[in-house]
Amino acid sequence: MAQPDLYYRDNNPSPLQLVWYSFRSRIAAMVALWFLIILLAVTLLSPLLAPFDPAQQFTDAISLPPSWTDAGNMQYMFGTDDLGRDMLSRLLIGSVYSFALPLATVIVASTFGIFMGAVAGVDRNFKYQVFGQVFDRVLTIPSFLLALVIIAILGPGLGNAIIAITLSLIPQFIYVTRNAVHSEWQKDYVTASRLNGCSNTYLMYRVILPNITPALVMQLTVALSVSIMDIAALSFLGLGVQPPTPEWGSMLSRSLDEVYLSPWSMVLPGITLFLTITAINVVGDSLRRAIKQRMEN
Amino acid sequence: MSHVLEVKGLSKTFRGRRDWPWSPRSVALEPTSFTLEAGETLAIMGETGSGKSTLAKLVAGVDNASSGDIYLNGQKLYDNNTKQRCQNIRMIFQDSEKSLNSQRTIGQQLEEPLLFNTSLSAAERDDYVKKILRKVGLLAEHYEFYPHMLSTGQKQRVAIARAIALEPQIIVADEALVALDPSVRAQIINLMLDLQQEMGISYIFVTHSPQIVKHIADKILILYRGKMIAFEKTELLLTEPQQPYVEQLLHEHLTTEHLNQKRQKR
Repeated sequence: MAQPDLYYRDNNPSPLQLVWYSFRSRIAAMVALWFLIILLAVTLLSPLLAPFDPAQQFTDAISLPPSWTDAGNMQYMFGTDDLGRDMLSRLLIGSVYSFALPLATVIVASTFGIFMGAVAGVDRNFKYQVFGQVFDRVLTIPSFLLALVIIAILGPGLGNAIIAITLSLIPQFIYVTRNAVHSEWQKDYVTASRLNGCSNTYLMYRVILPNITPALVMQLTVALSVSIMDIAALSFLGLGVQPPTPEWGSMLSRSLDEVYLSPWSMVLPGITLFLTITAINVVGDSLRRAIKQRMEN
Repeated sequence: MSHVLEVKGLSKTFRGRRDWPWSPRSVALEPTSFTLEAGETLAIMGETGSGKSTLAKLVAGVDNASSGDIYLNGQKLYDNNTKQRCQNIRMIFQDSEKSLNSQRTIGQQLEEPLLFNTSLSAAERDDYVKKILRKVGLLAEHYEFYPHMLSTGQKQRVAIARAIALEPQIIVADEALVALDPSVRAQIINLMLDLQQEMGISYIFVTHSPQIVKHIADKILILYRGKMIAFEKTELLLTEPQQPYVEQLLHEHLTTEHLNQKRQKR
């Protein structure tokens, strides 16, 4: 009896697993996913990996080119900036501010947003209409502008920038969750579960959540890339992370003055930012395609 | 004799698509009363939009009635008492595909009613679900399957399994046979009739197929624009329809054979 059981289990991938199989077969998607996994690992280990303190200034090595050029020095692999700070250390520590913090804001915003969206999406009632009408209007304001307005009220700084970005992301999560939950709620299988006498918590977590996971995962990837862009942009404008903290956006901003003398100080954070956001978008896009392919079969 | 189900003055009014408190209401079902005995089959017929699905949903507890009461064995059913309702009245939906959760296995879905309405342990639920699966002509192995791996007929069997899992007294089938092709439809009808004999279930069928009604129904309830215009025994309504609308509805698809019989009688 054990044998046939094993056989059937092997042949019964859940719909979510099928999406993963489809995702796994895309090379670009897997490369991007591995890039993000490695980036996350590097971010978490950055205090150990960074060869120098990012704020430490080497007066004997100011504006040193990267090590692969003739003038470079292997001690400073990615060169140094105009104050003689090691670029590699700054990029590594910068990933905490440019990648880990946006990730944290997305996690916080999604927790709040998904919860509120789920509450608002249940049933077609007054609450649903009010949430819908309000957030339809709020979403006409771009999230970055919303973050700027919040910064204008709270004042610049790292903490305020994080609060502003978190707050500006929440409406999108509410909107997406509310719509997804609402459209699922009207379907027969939810009615059937309701008629089974299921509690509302069970309905939400076991019945509806597995069906709206694709929409939520997609929104998460979008929110992550938006969040990274926003924190970099705010820092670029001098409203977010303050110097000397090594954030990729603020590094870009600082390098503007000396771009002709030491182009690497602009190119290196630019490329890291570009690669990170591209990887997130590729993962999100592949996920969307995998889900679409799954739905069509 | 007390009726299994007694419906008194049940009505439903809807607001428009946008459910503001001040939106105007429209009437979907005017006050309707009927009764149902144990082991009996009632067919609800009518045109599209005549309120037959609304009536079925009110009885099954999908929607709350605007007015009127439902009595089960003389006991009043309350809107907020879902347990009482779902242990005795179950529903089978029109589209079995949509009525099953595509992300969960058949077993998990069949366990749901047991989880919330019985005190069975996980192992007992497991056994019970497998027993029910065999009862509706599926295999115990289907426990591990996802809905997309089954055919339409098999999905409808799963839907029936879910309906009979709590050994209800009444099953409401809302156009449950429409999406099936003729041979599968015959199988499902036979399965449902077998279960009726075995378990003494009363059925409420919502349908617009006179053939099926003729075959299975003891009583017919006919709705016209939300109003009940006939509630009679099937033979009576078939042989002596009082209104032209009823005759049209019931004899629309009758074969020439029946028409000949009718001519001979005249």
